[in-house]
Amino acid sequence: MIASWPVFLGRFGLWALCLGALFALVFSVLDLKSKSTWSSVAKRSFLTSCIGSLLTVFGLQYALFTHDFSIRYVATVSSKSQPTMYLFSAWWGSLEGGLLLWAFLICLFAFLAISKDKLRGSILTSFLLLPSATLCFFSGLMLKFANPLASFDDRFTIPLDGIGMNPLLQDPGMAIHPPLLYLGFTGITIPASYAITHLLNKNEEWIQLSRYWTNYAWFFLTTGILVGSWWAYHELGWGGWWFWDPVENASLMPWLLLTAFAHSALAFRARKLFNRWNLFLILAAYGMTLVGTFITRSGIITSVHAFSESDLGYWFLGYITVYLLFAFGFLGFNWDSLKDNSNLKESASKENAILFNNLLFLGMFVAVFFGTTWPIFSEISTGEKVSVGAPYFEKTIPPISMPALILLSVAPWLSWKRKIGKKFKNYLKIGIIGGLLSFLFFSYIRSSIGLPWFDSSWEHFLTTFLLGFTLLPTCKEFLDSKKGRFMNSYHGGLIVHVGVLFLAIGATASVEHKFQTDAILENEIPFVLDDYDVELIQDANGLQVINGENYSSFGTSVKVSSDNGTKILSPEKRDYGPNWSPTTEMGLKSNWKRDITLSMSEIINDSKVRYRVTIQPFLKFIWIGGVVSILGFLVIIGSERR
Amino acid sequence: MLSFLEKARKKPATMNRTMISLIMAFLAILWLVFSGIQDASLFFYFPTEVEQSIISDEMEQDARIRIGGFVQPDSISIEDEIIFFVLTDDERGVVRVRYEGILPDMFAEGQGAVAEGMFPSEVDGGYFFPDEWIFYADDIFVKHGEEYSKEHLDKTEMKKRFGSGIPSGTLE
Repeated sequence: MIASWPVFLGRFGLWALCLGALFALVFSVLDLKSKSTWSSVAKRSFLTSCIGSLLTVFGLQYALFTHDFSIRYVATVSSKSQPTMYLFSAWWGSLEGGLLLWAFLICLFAFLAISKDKLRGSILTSFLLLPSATLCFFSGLMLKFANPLASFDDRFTIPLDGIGMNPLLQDPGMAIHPPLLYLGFTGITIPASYAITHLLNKNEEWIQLSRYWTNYAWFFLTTGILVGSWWAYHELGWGGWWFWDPVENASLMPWLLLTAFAHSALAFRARKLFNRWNLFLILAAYGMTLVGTFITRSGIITSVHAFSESDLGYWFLGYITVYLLFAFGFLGFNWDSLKDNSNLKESASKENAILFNNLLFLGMFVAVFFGTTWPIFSEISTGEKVSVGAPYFEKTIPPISMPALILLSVAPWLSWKRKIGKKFKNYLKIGIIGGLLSFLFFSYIRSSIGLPWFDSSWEHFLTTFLLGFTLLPTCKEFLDSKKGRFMNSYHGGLIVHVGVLFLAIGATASVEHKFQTDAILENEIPFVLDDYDVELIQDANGLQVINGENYSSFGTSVKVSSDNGTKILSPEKRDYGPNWSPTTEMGLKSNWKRDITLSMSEIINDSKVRYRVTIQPFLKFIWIGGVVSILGFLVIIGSERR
Repeated sequence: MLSFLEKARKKPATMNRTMISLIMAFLAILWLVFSGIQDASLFFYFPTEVEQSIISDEMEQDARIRIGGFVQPDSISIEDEIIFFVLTDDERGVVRVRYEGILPDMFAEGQGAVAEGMFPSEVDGGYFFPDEWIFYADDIFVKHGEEYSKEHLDKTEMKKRFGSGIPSGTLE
């Protein structure tokens, strides 16, 4: 069968993407090595690559929307009954399309950076090195192992309908979560490329230029992680929101380094401090985006043997090694010539607070990195396979993150270079009042929902104190700030910090006071759980059968009442046809104090159903905190627009 | 590289104090990480390895371990709300698993799964016959990833599935 013209164009585009990036890389190197200028040729090659990526995306989308199942990828991730929205999101449905999305976004970000920051000459060519090398690598992988537009080897295997997307992932949250993460990952490429321009061309402006892109990358990565966690809570129906799964950790590791970088870059802008350290952090953050992808895509976590079965893992490992050698080689060779003001005179200054912030974030990164990769090291060194679960992370992360939270509350009130000022002492007084108030408030709320008000972990006490401790001085700061100087990036940062504290309260309390049980409910017989009344209410026909767009489901109605109202929940068990195992839609009753979720586990008979019930206090604070942080990020982005 | 140490000696006293406290704090974090990892890591086996170590009498009873493989088709049975199934792997090793509780959504025959638990030496007052070697799991995980497709289909599998031109859906 001959492929349709858009698919043909897409295949052509993939080659253009690969060759364009290769030429951009070669001419950039030539330009930096020789005296004659090749920068305009390099730029044009790179633009060819960008156009190539557009054509490939067009070809893939055309194939997805016209149900061209002669394309292997289309047959794997889409089916005829798939809703239109999920036909589009099938683009990033599996490895092949994920690589294409990554390549496409690198083209987009690099193109925007080149045109917005008006890069030219040797700055342009040194900037292009990293994006074009990455594009070469990804497009090479696609052409060799994972071509999204490859057709079946012989036409007799072409199916009449595709397998379709995993129904668990047919959810708006999950449709948008991967591209947000990819936007964050590829966004990191731009500050990392600016770091390379500084190493190769002494581009002193690199921090200023990269600041804008760092904000975007940071915003997208944070939002992506939060949306993923929201999805896990609402769709997986396991009653949890973070599982310390390698896939989740892979996105957390670059985020931790990026957050450290975003803070130490502040110290550079204000006082020209930590220049080498900044370079190290951003180059490492970019490296971690590759390492994270390698860990999750190569199967190495399950076993070193699973990894050796596919060549993809070796290629990734090879590229990571080449990248690390070049990036840290450049850094090492230039070490002594890099200007670095390391004059830290005053202990209680903002720059020292940032130094300790960086230490703690690096510490959390080390904890997550070793927790995630320990199975690999263990298997290589001793031959014994081990598995590191959530208990490890729940034990090691709080002792590092809690000091970071204390620092987060007080550091914004410190000033650069100088001793503790009047403002700090003033805010400290207000803060202690606010902290005590919020501590008492949360103790009262805890006792009002049946938890002992005096008995909780120190993490919970600390976070509830810190919220008021930060919130009250922040309010004063906002009230005192003059019109016109209101809502600058400093204020945005304060809002993000308050959001993080909300999130920390939700995270610590919901893990600590989580209550989970299995309950068998009988029709119209109330069941008392904690201080909830739970009752199954079925009509005479027994279980309801609901027919959705591409699924059928068993639904039940459960009346849940507590002192603040009654809600009818409808937990469901959905069946998406022969290719998929059934999925659970949980019923959720939630207010700001507490969440109760019911997931149907087993239908015993028409009037008797078994549920898994989870009650978690303050869980909503996670989402409130997430939204507040995102708003704060938007303030930062808005106020630093050039 | 050693030059920065020489420079540090010439720096003012505050700088040295800062550096020392930073290094101390970082060492404390490293200690926290490595002691935590030693305590919290569980041994992980494939069914074939479990079989081999049972035969060679190396399998410890009452030690928490994880076993990962895929659920053998037609092996799931439920007796009195207790779920029994068989985990197997490419080399056809098998382990019988007993589990009480709710199974994750994506748990199904032919799917990858990890069971956490132990081979107990004694169960509920009665003596447990170790010849049976039933794995008592108290937690079941399935692979949770960003894969939209049910699994990576290699060429042969794809052919098996779509060989007749009609997607059969289930793995034969």
